[in-house]
Amino acid sequence: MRLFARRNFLIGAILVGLVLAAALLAGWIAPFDPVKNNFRNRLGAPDDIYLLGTDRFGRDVLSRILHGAQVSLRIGLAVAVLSGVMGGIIGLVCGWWRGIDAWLMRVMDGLMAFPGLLLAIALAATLGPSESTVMIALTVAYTPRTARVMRGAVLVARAQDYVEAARSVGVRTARLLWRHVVPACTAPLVVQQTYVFAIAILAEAVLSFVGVGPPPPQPTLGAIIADGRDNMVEAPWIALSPGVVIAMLVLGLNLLGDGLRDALDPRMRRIMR
Amino acid sequence: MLRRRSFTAGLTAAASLPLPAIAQSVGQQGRKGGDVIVAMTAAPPTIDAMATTAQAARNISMHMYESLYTRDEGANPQPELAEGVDIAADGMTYTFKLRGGVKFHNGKPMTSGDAKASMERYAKLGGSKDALKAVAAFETPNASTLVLKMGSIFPGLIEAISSPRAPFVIVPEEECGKPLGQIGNIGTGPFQFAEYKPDSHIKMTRYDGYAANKAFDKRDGYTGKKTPYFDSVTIRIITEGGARTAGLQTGELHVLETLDVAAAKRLKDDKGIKTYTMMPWAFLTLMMNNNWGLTANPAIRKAIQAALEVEEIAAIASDGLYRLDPAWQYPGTNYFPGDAGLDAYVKQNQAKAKAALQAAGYNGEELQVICDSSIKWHLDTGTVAAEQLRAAGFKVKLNVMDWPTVNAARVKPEGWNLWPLAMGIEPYEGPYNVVGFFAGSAPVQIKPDPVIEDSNKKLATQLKLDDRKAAVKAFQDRLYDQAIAVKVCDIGVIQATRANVMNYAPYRTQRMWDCWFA
Amino acid sequence: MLRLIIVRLLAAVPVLFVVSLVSFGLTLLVPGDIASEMAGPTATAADVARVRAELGLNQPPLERMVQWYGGVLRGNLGRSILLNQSVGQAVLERLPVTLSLTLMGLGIACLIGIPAGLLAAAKARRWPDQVTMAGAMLGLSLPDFWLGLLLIYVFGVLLHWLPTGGFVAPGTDLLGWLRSIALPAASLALTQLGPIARMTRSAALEVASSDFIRTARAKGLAEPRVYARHVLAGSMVPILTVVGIGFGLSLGGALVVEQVFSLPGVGRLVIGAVLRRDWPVIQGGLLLTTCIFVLVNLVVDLLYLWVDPRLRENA
Repeated sequence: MRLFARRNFLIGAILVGLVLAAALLAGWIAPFDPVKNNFRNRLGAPDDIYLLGTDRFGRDVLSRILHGAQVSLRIGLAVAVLSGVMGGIIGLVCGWWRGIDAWLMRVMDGLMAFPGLLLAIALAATLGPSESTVMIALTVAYTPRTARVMRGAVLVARAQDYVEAARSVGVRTARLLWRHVVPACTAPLVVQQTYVFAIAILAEAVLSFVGVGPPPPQPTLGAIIADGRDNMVEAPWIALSPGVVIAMLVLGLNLLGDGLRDALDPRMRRIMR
Repeated sequence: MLRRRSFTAGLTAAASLPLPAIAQSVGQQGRKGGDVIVAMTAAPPTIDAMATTAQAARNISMHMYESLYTRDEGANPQPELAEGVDIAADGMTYTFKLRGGVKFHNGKPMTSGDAKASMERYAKLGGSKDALKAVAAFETPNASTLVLKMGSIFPGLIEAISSPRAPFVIVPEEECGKPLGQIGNIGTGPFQFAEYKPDSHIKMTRYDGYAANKAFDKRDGYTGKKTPYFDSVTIRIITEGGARTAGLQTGELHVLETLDVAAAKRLKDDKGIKTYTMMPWAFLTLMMNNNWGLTANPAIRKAIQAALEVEEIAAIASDGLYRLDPAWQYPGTNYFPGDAGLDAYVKQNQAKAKAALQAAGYNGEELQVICDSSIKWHLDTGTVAAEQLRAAGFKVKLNVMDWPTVNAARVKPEGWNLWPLAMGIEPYEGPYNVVGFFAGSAPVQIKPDPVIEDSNKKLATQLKLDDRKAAVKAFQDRLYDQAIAVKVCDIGVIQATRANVMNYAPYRTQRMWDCWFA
Repeated sequence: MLRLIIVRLLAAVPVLFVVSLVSFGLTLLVPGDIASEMAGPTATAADVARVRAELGLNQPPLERMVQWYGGVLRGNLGRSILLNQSVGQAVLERLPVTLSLTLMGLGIACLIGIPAGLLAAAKARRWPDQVTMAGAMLGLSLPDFWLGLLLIYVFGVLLHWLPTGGFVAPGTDLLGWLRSIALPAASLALTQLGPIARMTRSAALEVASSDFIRTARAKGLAEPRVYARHVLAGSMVPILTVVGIGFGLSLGGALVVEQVFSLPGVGRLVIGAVLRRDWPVIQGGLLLTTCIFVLVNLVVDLLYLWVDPRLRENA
């Protein structure tokens, strides 16, 4: 089991690493300016200059994908971190102070009962499309889920003998939480946020597709697909290749998450549900 | 005292839009039957025809409703439910004689009471209700006569009320008390309402009680002798361009409101499909806020004009289907003010732009471009223009928002500089809503301009066509002289049908009368 | 059981209240309003103001809020301005489209995912396992709307097998309905397949190592039979859980897939309302959608009890 887990992790790390490296180096390796129009070369098929062809604006699709991956990764990471922090705190509070739990978790249930995507679309439309709007909208949409996972982990940690013991000898709550509870919950939180990272990348693509993502000419993977959808037949390279990159990235992140989960604690599955 | 005169002869001598030659296949016999499926690109905001200027609503309502006057193939006003109009010599009384034998879809004969009530409803909530501002009273001396008593002179009245922008449709009197958006769908047109499933489709069936206008011998624009052949017309709302094209190819769809230009190129050898190019279809423009920030300065506005390469914007936004045309009326129409000397204005000149910027003491302030993402023409224009302005040395912020947000932003006196807009129906109508857009209490450029105000007033009150033409010319000269707004180009669209849709002719909307399945 | 239902429904009340507050807040924050949409793209500011007055949109927010909550308590969710239809009716009319799409997608996912998961468990760590699990993982990682575009291209445009969009009501034409929903359901199913197959596999592995399966094997039952009957039965609870979660996710996915395939479902209704500021639909639609989510989750919970009697005592 461990070997298989490690192989998953390895494949995941390679996939994510590849996309990450390409995205980080976009400024250097992208052959063209991703927002430079060239109306004399619109919808050009892939050739040895434009490796992945050009779009309606005559922009190089490969360069747009490289830069777009950067934006998508930035959004995904921001959502994973932000919802991790917020959900982590909310989950900690709810798991520890049972009086607050009933109230706060109700609100979280309320948010969770919304289909996350619909909530994000509504929020993004409301706040006006921009990269930070998408981050905020997706964070709001996915925080409740993280809070739930964290709360579960806190409940488990709280019941551990050593925590009980520390409590009974009168260790201060803040210290207790920081020294004993939080470390015990970090693993499930990190694993959950890896999945949130993956979900956020898919969700960003949806938001851009519906038209409430980061505004053009900023490339994002979803926006490139949306740009190419009207010309699926005449210029399939526009919409197809960013989809493949999204799939690579999300697959990689999911594999990483699985690998982490199996490596850290096989029993964690119960909390993760 | 009334003096009879033929409206079209007296007012519009030889107006004709340069539309593609229409093959009126003579000798071909229409065949009844079939359900024709039309795809349109957007959902109508309402199907209350009077209330909205949206194209999606026109696509539907021009089948179900008719007006006293409407436009012919060349966009000239022609009678439809009226036999004609008598205009008093002083221009203060318009007497419409209604056509006899016209029945609404509910079987009720149409009378002047219906026409009066419809006009009064329009005056209350119609989309172009300013057209009726000069009317003091509607009178019905008998069942087949409607009289408009003017409070002030308005020679553009017939042109205004014949416009399909938000059509001045005649509906039964009983419906006229209903609030906006809640009217029953009863008209006199060749097809009658059957069902409306929002976001999916609207279905209309052939109105067998339709009384064709015998004053004509064939269809002509929105008027003429119309004959419905299809059993029913289903207009489906398909927002995905790719799905529309695919549907036409597979034969699920018979008629497309627009076919993507790239797809049209690919399909030009497809024997199952016929395509029709409509050029010109719309003005592509960049409106500027003359009141706020950088664009309050005419020198900067001129620098913007010089920084833009209109051909690149045109080619990208229209997918290659464009015509460079600096004029603010279409060539070949009545009010065409000419385009002599305008070439220099539309030539891109980055050096000139940079010099002008320096001269104006440009301090790196950001240009705020607002742009909606729902209409591709707008989005592409905003995107390309922003890039070009950056290249010329401007700092540019492109704010892409959804339509309601943009529309709320662009009426604000501050906070925006540039706003791309495609004007489709207004230039087709003539000069009134083009000039009017820049005049009145809320001009699009925010800061009222005295010369344009004057042009607008003259257009509304001068009885002689030449005087009104001069007003349009003055308006256009002023736009360029002060760089009030940028005209990018005329853009076209491609309409398409399956090859078995016979006798189809393209127009502002898909007309499903007088065509049939082979 | 009845107590459980009542408790759960009562617990839903504060949830719904939060949802309604959030959606009301959204409509207050959103810039622009429906009047500009209604009047059309080149309407002047004055035209828009007139439409706004005509539609009665000039009321202060608090007044609107009181009115709206009053209506909701009386079971009236308000009236769509764009559709000239009550919000309840608008949502209920579209619900069958979204639900049938979701159920169909989930059904396909179960039909393929559960056997695939069982197969993977039976052949654990051998190639059938690795191939199915890799496939499941890949499916889970694809954007469903992108898959939809791809399916339109392949099955609609290239092969001409299936329609590329639009919805046929099952009442008018059953075959037409199946055809119209096949591609969107397939793109949903492909993304839901993964979790179901994975959960089936891991649950089946756990069950397969338990005593009663060993007994079954000892009695000489053939291996496929053991899996098809006993292992599957033992794995039902975790599978149901993941299907229940999948229902929520599919419903979310359906909202987007509807856009791609031009299906008149709840997703297009609500997204369209957001983009065009039809605030009664935004509020009512979100509230009603949430109700449906809550109900679905309740049904799934009740199904657990039915499948696994041991849980009943805790309820």
